[in-house]
Amino acid sequence: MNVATPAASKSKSGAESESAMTPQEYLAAAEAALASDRPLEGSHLLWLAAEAAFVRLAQAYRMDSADLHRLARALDKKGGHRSRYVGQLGTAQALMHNAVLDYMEPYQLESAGESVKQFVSEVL
Amino acid sequence: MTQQSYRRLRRRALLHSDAARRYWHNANTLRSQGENASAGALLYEAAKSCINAVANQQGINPVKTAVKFRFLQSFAAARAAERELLNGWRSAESLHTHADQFHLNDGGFSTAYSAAQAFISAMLDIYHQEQP
Repeated sequence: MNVATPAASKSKSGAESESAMTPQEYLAAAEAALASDRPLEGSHLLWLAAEAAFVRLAQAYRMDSADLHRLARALDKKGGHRSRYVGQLGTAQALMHNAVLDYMEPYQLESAGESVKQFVSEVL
Repeated sequence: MTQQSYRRLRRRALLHSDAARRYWHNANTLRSQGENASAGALLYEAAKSCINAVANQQGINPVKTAVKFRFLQSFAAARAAERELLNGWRSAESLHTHADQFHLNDGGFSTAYSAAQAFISAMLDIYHQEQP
């Protein structure tokens, strides 16, 4: 998985329909997966929700979303934030890696998911 | 809690804040030498020491990592930058995992390192603001 690749163009999730999903749809799918005791899938979907929200932000500010790390730093600089977007991307990429490495405890996944939910609702 | 144990925790708070600064400095030294995994591991230790410093300062002694997180959660909830603090801590945890799994690419490592540094800086600021 490459964090520099926006969901809208080359999501690793594979399905065409999934790549066209909105951040809210990813969130809803994540919540369904987590509620059905599928934490790794939920983790991946939370990552996709955050990734799609970053792409939306880039579109809104007419910024390049090809590299999300660069985008997050640019958004922090633009808004005069110390690490608002870089930290949010840090949480998102932790979820992406958790989907593969399965290292988060339930309380960590819950808290990271809450952070993504707040971020998505703030962006949209 | 007795007055004596409270005073003991306050002294430990100072030791933890000093340790956090040393870990942070040493992490940056290692990073400048290209030792990213070790630098990340030390930065995670710095982040943990920051939580210990602020918690001990308030008479709380969170030993296990999950308890540290619960303290941070409740402490950050009272502050405007709640999400930023929690995201910064999660980035520090990613660096800790990276020291074992080597899973972060250059961009991912830089993002986690920056966010963890911002967390440490913010927590040390809080520690100083709360000093009597």
